[in-house]
Amino acid sequence: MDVKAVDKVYVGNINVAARRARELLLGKLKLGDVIDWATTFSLWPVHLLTSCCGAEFAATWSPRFDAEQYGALPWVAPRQTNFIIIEGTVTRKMACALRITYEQMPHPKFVIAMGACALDGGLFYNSYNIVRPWEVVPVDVYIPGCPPPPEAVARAIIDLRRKIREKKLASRWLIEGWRHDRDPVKPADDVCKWWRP
Amino acid sequence: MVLETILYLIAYPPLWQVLILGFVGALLVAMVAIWFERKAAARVQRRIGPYWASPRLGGFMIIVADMIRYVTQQVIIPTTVDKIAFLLTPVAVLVVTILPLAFIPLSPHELYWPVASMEYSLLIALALTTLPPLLTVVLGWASSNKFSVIGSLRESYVITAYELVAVLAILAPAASTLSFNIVYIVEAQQPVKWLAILNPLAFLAAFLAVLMSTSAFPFEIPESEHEVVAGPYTEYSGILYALNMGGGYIRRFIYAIIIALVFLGGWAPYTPGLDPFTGFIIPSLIVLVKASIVVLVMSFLRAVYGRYRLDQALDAAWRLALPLALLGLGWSIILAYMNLI
Amino acid sequence: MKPEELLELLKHALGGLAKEVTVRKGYVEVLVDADSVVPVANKLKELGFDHVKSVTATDYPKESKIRVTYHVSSYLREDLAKPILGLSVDLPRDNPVMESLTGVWRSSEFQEREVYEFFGVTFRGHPDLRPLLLIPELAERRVLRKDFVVKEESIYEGVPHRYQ
Repeated sequence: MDVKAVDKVYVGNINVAARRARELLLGKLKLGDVIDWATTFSLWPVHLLTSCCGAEFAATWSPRFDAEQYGALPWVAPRQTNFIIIEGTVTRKMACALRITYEQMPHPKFVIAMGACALDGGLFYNSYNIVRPWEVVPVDVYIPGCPPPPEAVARAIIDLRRKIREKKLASRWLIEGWRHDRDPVKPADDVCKWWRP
Repeated sequence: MVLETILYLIAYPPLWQVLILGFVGALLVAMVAIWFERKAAARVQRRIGPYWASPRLGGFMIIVADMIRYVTQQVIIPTTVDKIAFLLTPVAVLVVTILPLAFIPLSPHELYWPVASMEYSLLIALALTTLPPLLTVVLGWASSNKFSVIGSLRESYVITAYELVAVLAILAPAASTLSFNIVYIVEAQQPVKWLAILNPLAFLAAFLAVLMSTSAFPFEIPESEHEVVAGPYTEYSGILYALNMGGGYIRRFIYAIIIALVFLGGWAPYTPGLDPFTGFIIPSLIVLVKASIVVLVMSFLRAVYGRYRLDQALDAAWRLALPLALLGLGWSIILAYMNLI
Repeated sequence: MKPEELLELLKHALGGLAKEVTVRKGYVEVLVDADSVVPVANKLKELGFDHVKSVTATDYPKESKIRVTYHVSSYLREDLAKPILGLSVDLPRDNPVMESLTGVWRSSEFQEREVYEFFGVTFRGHPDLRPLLLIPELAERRVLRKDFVVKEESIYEGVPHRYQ
């Protein structure tokens, strides 16, 4: 096919049209900033409760520490959310659920690992039955503490927002189709080997 | 001359009807309803609610941010779905939802609103408002997910019970004014003989049925979070989910417009003039403000009431709401017989 | 009901079925053979003990036995619910097999699965004997027996460089 003809939108090549529209909207019109801004104020966490950090997660959205003022609204279904808070220990069975939940979420998606157990085992260090969340999903922000207070969770959300704004994570996903600052983690061993639907 | 041309262009009925009112207005009202819902629930629970995106607007920009995020998010199409139905149904839901607006006159003059002199406009509008739930059943089935199927089954149960009540209760004004023409019904209520005051039973039944059949938030039985994940919309992500969610709010808004017209007097204390400004813009704005108040009251109920189970809702439909609607219909006939309206 | 009264009641009711009935600090323990556990459980149920509070096991490597203990209690009779009653079975450590008590008390089903995966005790007649909390390959290693050794990890070992 003639290159010149392909380069013009009115030839009817939908890929070229899509690329041009993307360049116009994200490059010239700086729509990427708007998308990043929108993503920072619309971080809806999915509620993956694995252990006692869930109580602190609930307290973060309770009347005293109201995290909804940052636009974060806890949501149940992973399909409509864009970030996930891993609330505590991830056992080997829960790793499969975590990976499935992560795969169900649409891009751009972010992960916060909450609590000492999610960092490096915490109370369950040297246990036979835990995995680290970074072996299963790419983690953006860690919250230390056992369990972390609600202020720390709100602080982590603000940190995640700053990270999205500075590194332009949401709009770069639109441009590049993948996040290059975090390598896509493929679990070393199949976390869902014990369960086959 | 120039001003007249511009005014005519602005007030050109199809433009106002479909573009400005249909899409922009309905979208705006849906966003305000969502914002008010979140904010009111937060204030009732002594929280702040959406705030930091735009403190002066009370966090309204957070809803805009949600919308932009949904539009630019990835759209996941699972491999097991029926692709054509899965992709086309949300669009069809939105189109069919907006369709009744074409038959709801917001101005008494045929010049500005071509269907104003049409008989049976109330019947046609009501018939069209009952279409979108069928498409909800279709999209639940197309998702090929058990939560979707259960959710759409619940939707079909609820609409079977409550659409009947809604139609009966909203047809009560037609019985008392002896006409299906919305403009005639509105003019009969001039100036303050509002049917919500004269016939509170039918108004209550209509309000309750609209609340239930559009699955407004305290009664969101089809998409209850705790039982079926997101109901019929479980598999939808990104812009398709935004279309579905917006469709629900727009449907509630259209019901609210009908209620504002036939029960709350439409543009009633105001007598429309003949030129575009006094004859068209002011009456339609009055109707929209009344409808918005109805929608906001519905949104506020989220923070106050708990959710009914499916069996309780159906029980309330057949044992409470249907007799209420029939009583309202009887009351309307008595009103018409005694020439009270 | 005092534990001593319960002890007398049990001695009278069970007769020769129980190997040993003891009371110590308010805890009544009925020790039975693996063969007679189902008749004893039926007798206890006739007495009014209608549910199992917990099923647990203790590993004795030196004596080469595993003791499975059912803590049973009663919802319907309040006086029976006050003392703690344990129904214990001694099993050989190399091949621990016993009759399942799910036929008597349905509430022991999940807890027997837990004992199965952590100690390797096989319950005959259990409706669904699968690992409950662990993945299958971990359950085969009988992780709560005392000869299971956890691999020691040093601090800051596992974090890959790209995550620092």
